[in-house]
Formats: sequence, structure tokens, C-alpha cells
Amino acid sequence: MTRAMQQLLARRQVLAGGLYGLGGMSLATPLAKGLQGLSDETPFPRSLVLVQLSGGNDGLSTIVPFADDSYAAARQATRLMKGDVLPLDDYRGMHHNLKGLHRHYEEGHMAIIEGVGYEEMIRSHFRALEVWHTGRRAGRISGEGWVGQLAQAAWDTEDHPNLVVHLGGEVPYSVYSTHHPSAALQAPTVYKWFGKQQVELAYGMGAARADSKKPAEPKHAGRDKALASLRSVLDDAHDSSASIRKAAALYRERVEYPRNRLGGGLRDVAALIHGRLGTRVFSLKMKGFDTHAGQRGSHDSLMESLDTALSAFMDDLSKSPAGRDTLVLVFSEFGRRVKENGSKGTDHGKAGPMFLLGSSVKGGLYGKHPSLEDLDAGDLASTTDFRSVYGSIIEHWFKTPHEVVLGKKYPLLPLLG
Amino acid sequence: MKNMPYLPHLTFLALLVTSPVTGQSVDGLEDRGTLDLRVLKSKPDSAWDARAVEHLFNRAGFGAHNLDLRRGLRTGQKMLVGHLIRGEDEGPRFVVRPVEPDMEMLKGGDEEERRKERNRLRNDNRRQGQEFLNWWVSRMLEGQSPLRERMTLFWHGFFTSDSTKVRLAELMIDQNELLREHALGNFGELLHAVVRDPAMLIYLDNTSNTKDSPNENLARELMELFSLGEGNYTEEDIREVARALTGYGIDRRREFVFNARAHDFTTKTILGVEGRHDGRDVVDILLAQPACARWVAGSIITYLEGAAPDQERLEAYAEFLREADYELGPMLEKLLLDPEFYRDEIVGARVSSPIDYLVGACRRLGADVRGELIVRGAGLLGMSLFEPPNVKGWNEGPAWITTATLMNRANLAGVLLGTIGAGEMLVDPLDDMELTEEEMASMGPEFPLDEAMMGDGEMMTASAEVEKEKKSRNQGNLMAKVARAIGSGGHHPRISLGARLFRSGASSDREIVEFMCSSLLAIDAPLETRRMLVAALRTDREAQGIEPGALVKKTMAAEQVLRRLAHLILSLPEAQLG
Repeated sequence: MTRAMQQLLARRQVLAGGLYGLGGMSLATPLAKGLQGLSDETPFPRSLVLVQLSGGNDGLSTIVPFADDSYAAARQATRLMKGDVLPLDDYRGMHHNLKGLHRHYEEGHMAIIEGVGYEEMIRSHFRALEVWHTGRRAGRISGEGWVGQLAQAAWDTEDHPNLVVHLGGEVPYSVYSTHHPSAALQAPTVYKWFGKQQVELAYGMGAARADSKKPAEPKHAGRDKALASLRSVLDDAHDSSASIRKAAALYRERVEYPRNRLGGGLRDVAALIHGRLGTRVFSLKMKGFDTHAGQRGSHDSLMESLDTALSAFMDDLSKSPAGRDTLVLVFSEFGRRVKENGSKGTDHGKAGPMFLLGSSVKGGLYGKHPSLEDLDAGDLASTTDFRSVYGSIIEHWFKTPHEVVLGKKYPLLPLLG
Repeated sequence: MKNMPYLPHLTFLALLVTSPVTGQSVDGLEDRGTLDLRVLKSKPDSAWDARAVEHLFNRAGFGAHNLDLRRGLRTGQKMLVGHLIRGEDEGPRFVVRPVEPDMEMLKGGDEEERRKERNRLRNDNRRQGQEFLNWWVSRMLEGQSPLRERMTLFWHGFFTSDSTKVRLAELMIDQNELLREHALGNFGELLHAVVRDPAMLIYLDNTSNTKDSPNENLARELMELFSLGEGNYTEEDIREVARALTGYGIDRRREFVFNARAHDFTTKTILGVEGRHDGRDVVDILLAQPACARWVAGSIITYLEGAAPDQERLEAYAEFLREADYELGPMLEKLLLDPEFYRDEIVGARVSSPIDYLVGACRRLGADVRGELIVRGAGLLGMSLFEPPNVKGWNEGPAWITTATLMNRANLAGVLLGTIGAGEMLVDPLDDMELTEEEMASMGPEFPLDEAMMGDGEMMTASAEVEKEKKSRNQGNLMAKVARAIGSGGHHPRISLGARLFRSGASSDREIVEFMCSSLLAIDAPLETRRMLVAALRTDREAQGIEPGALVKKTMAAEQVLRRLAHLILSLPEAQLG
């Protein structure tokens, strides 16, 4: 670093109120606090990891009712036999590639909620996702995402950029919030400014904020309003980039993660948790579940990726005190049609299973497996509302009244021990 | 296509003169104006000043070079808007090459041959789609018909189709050309054509809409998104429209076909109108609804102004559009001449889309770039052309900006300027961490650093494990696609900021910042920002040992300092607005 740059920085810190130092590592960041005063004994904040299986996962090939004659009749190419599954009881079993999850289930750290959906389920991907992302049948027009609403209800005073973090490409609407916008990144490695932009930007924005306190010219009213919010994203980016990259680089995982996208993402989640960034909700997506044709092979490998990634994460966390404070919720926008289609695949359907994982979870089966005879227009009818699952987490895990977040009360499930 | 999209024409160079600086504040930075063009108003009290010209170019086109501003001022508002509305569709066309399967190889050959042929088809198809998008972006860059391309982009987000579902690039291209053809034409004709557009029929599943098993996908979106807006029809209307659209499909040559055997010829009642309706009748019924003109006018105004119009203004425009029989030209002309279009809450207040940001930066820089770099870059920023996030198209406005996209916009600006290379984009996960020794020492046993770190905070990078990790993380991610678009040789833009500076007459740090802000930003930069830039420029200049006023000497070192300044300017929140 040049002397001139140091001088610039020194001035910047005065102007910016000493909010952050070079690379974001001043005493004010949560990471630094974590590194300085906190021991292994200090509890981690409770967090939730959301894993979205995009495209509509075939629940019947995930939790398989192998003993159901109607299942055998409806499925041919995609049918899994008794020998293909890891039995949960004499009616149902887990897909044979879910070996790690099956182990966690046996150990009592996995809840399987069957037949999850909502009234008048939608078979369109994006509309269905809007329902899951807002917790409301009307979707986006009802307001912000449910995680955004949760953030406002539960952590409104925790004002830092990493409160909600999405790892991956397009940011899901669930985390959409004007008050607590999520940090979003593809991978920590490239979550940064190349070059030395951040130094000057941070400096300049501190100065700009100090100056812009004076009344705005009416001529620039629109511009200045827009600038104010962009500058706050810039601040967030500055803090978030430094802390997230550092946490990711310094983390030493305790197990080997599979080399797939979800595995990489969950490894980063573990890093961020242990970096004590104060993140409450993580969001990830796994793509490829829209299996209209030739489903068997692709679904088998999806299950393998999902299993290896999730169980690596679970194993990693189980070796850390953070394991007690972390939940993983797995969902998909809909299940698939009971009857196989003409191209060895399945079309969009309705109800499906959800998973909740973590050492604080009271494992077992919840809800009710939907009937394969009494169908809703060819689809599994939902027996448990997904908001009962959201609501239980909001209420029992985050100690927040769930109706505040979801707009009304739902029957809660005893998912947490 | 030539790769020299926007170089100033020599005859205009003489016009680029420096005007005297007026109204200076204590530190020499002007309060409102800038060094060159902006203080030159056509008439002292005219609303048609450089700010208005720039606003028009930002919204009705893809940004303005200083020369465009100069010309716009001289041409006058009425003539310029008239020119935009005519939207003469010039320039080289994109010629579609049908990707035809070699049936002999596909049917007759052995497994290996069939696989080869399938791969060839897939690759040819993908390549053609990519080439078309490069062509499209180069039209935006060259600015031959700015408003036509602007509206083509608007209609692409309005009448969305997604190439990942449609699959045949050829059909996506045909649809885009259809949107271009009608972009400034008649909305009624456009809507009629869209209902028969093969890509749309595939995208919204109308190819499987038959009288025996109706599919409501197209029917629903036709009313909700393409004509009326939610709340202006019933679920029953959707079912009836779906029946009217049965049999609208495509044939083996991938052209529109009306399949009479699949069509439901019985009577339907749509929005109160009874008859044996088909698709044509449906569109006519929709166009006759007052809600339709309201929806179309409202969508266009919201898109171009960046904010929804108030009720009174919306009604006025809707009525105007209806009276004009859905001719878009007159309505657009009215809008672009409307003083309300230039009101203070609107000018400089819209967050630019990724395409606006990247194309605008290139136009203002006068940089020559491969269209592919912009197409990929926009994808990285959340706007993959031909792949809208859903049938509603893109969410315009503040939603474009996340912590990651704000940083990546800056990074792509660095790529365009040549200050960032491909290698840096595929960065090692563990490099450039800035840790002090105390920080390292303070790490508890949770972070066993000794194996991972060495020396002054540089992380060990040599291990094969890291290499593997780096590869797997970058694979398939959009950053890698951008890096590939840059190419192994890196991107070396053919621009000389030094030469431009020299012509402008700016030489002091302050003048350079004024000139660069007015050249590179789509909006006026606030005084405090320009102050910050002067400080940053001085710091960098001094660090390079360059004397005050010597940046105009066209040395490599000076050019690098100027490019870093340009990179910084394009990284600012100010650069995200237009």
C-alpha cells in the first residue's frame, strides 16, 4: 500500500466515522468480534438453511410408497421396488441414493413431513414458487418474501448486511425485503471488487454521505433518492464482501464435501456460520428437478447429489457446537403427477414431502402420506399446509409469532425437540 | 459485423470545444454544470438542455456519447423525437440458417453417428442463438435505430419467451424480428401476430391445447400479461379463451398452423361477447376492452419513465392510444415530448438494467467490444436475453442491484476498460486476503491457519486441492462464461482516454474529473462525488509520479491512471442510474 493511499484511508475513516478499515476488518464487524472475544462455548445465533429443489421434485421417487398397489400401477419406468429403497417402515422407504440422509433419519435428526402443499395448489413453476416464497396464495402482490417478513419481525434491530444470505444465481423472492435486503453471491471467491475499487468507494461514500446531509436541490430529487439506496447497497457490499470472503477462506471443514454445486454452497454456509457473521437465514437452490422425460437416471443422480451434499453438511456441523443452532429445510414448489407420462417422466403435480434436518430436530414422520387413490385431478392432495412447517420454525425456533410473518395462524407441528 | 461500433466521426471533433467554467465553488468544482457540453444550452431558458437530451437518449435509446448530446441540442427536441419515432430499420440483417437434421445420419447411422449428429444439431442451434444475440447487442451499441431497439427489448420482456423451453433458436430469432418489426407500429397487429408466433405457442404450451384437453397457459397470460392485466377478466373467461385458442399450433416446418381437427368450434362467451370465436376474435375482443389500452400505455410509460404514471395521466394516454387505433408511434411521440417525461423525480432516478449499464458504458466510452462480452456480462448481472426469469419478464428498477451485482457491474466495467483481465475473473479463492498478524494470531483452534497460510497473509495457492476446488467452483458459473468471452488473450479495448482528454482541453485533476463524469455517466454527478473523485485521481497520479497537468501527455502510465479513474467512476452508485 502506498503512503498516499494510507493517507487517503486515514481521512476516509474520519469521514466515514471509522465504520470500516481496509478490507472491512475493523473492530466493528461481527467477524472481528467473533475472532476476538468469543470462544467455542459462546452460542451461535440460531439459523435456518433453506434448500429449494427447483423444478418440482418427484416426491413419490423420494419417499417411496413401495408397498402401495396404486403406486405400482401408476409407475413403470420410474417405479422403485422394495429392494430399491431404504425402508422407513413396511409401507414407505427412502430413495436408495439417500444413504446419508437415511442414517440421519435413523439417528433421529431428520423430520420428514409428508403430503405438504396448500389449498388449490398451482402447477405453474413460477406461480407455485411465489406461493412458497411469500407464504401467501396471492403470491408477490401480497408483499415481500416470507424471509424478508421474518427478518423484519424477528431481527429488525440487527442491522447488518449478512442477516440473510443467498448463495447462487437469481435471488429467490422469499428473501426479498426492502428493510433487510439479502446479501447475494455466486461464490465467495468472486464476491468482490477486482482492483482497489473498494478502498476508494468506501472512502468516497463516507464523504458523500457526510456532504449529502445538506438539503437536496429539487432538480435532483429523483436522483438523490435513488442514490441514497444505492449507497446503502454499496456499504453492504463492502462489509459483506470482506467478511464473507474471509470466513470462506479461513474455514476448515471437518468432512469432505461433494464436488457439486449444492455441496460447494453448503460448505460456504458452514464457513459463514463458523465465521460468526450473524446470518439468520441462508438460501440455496438446486436445479434440475423438472423431470418430464427419462426421469429415472436424472432423478437418481439428483438424489445422490442432494444426499451427499446435505449429509456432508450435517456431518460437518455435528462435529461443531454450531450444529445445535442450525436447521436445514428442504422444499420444492410441487410434487409430480401420480401417473407417469408417455415419455418415462412425470408432469407437474401437487403435494410432496419436505425435510427438516438438524440435531435439534425431533426426527420422524410427520403429516400423513396422501392417498394414491383419492386424487386431486390426478395429483396427490395435500394433507399438511407448508405454512404449518414455516410457522413451527418461526414460532419454536426463532421465537416469533408466526401469524405476524405469515398473515394468519396455522396449526403447528412439534418438529423441534 | 464490424467491431468498431461507435467511434466519433472526425468532422464532429472540431465541435468538441471547451466552454468556460462558470459558477465555481470554493474548491473550484462547479455546483451544477460540467466542463464541456452541458453548459451549452440551445437557448438560455430552454428546457431542451443537455440534461434533457441525455435523458431522452438514456430512456429512448441506450445512452449518449458526448457527440450525440451535441447533435441532439442542435437538432432540437421535435426533430430528434421525430427521428427516433420513425426508427428507420437500417443496418445489416441477421440471416437465419435453418439447422436441419441429416435424417440419414440420424436414422440410418450407427449409435456413434447418431450421437454425433445430435451433438452437431445442438451446437449449431446454440451457436446461432448466441450469434443472433451478439447481432442484437451490436445494434444497440451502434445506435442506428435506438428507439426501435429499445422497444424491441421492452416487447421481449412483455411478450416473453424462453429459449430453454422453446429450444429452437430459429424460432426465438423469428419472434425477436417480429417484435422489432412491430416495435413502433401497431399494438393490435403485434398482438394478433404474437398469438400465432411459433415460439410463443411452444413457450406457453398452446401446441398441446386441443378441444379434448384444453391447456390454459396461453389464454391466461394473454389476458393477464399481454393485454388486460389482472382483475379485468374472470377464471371463466380464461377457460373460454383457452377453448378459442385450441388448434393453434405449429407444423413440421415449425410454422404456424391452424389445426381444425383440434379446434373447438362451439360457441364461447368471452368478456360478455358470445360467438364461435377463434384466436382472431379473441384478440379483437381484448383490443376493444378499455383495460387493454390502459394496460399497454401504463406498461410502456412505466418502463420508459421508471415509475408508474398517476391515474389521470394514465387515462389520458390510454384514451390517446385507443383513439389512435393502437398506433404506438403517436403515443410514443406524445410521451417523449411530454414535459412530464422530463420531470425531476424521473430524470436520473432509474436503476439501469444490465443491458443499459453495459451498452451505455460502451457507447459513452466509445469502446469497441464483442457483443458476446455484453451478452454474457448481462447474464452475470441477472439479465440473460432470451432467458427471462419467468413469463412476467424482468423486474426492472432497484431489484437489479444486489451486493453481488453491484460489485460485478464494476468488475465488468473494468473488463471493458481493460483494467481487469480474464485471469482475474477466475480468481483463486484464497488470494488477496488482507489479514494482519494479530488477526491471524487471534484465530482460535477453529481456524488452524498454519497449514493454510504462510508469510504476510498470502494464502498458500499451490496445492492441487485448491486448484481442483477453484475449477469445480468456477465450472458452469456465469463468471466463467464471461471469462471465456474475454478470451485467453484478454480484452484490449481500442480506446484512448488520453486522446479524448487532450481534445477536450481538460488538464487539471479537477477538469479531468469534470470531463470524465460528464462523458461516462448518464446523469449529473453530485458535487460531493466529484470531490471524492478528484482526491482519488490526485492520489493515483501522485503514486505514479505524474506531475499535475501531465495526464494529458499520452503516456502509457497516464492512460492507465485515466482508465482506473474511468473504472472507479463506472463503479459508483451514480453509474447505475440513467
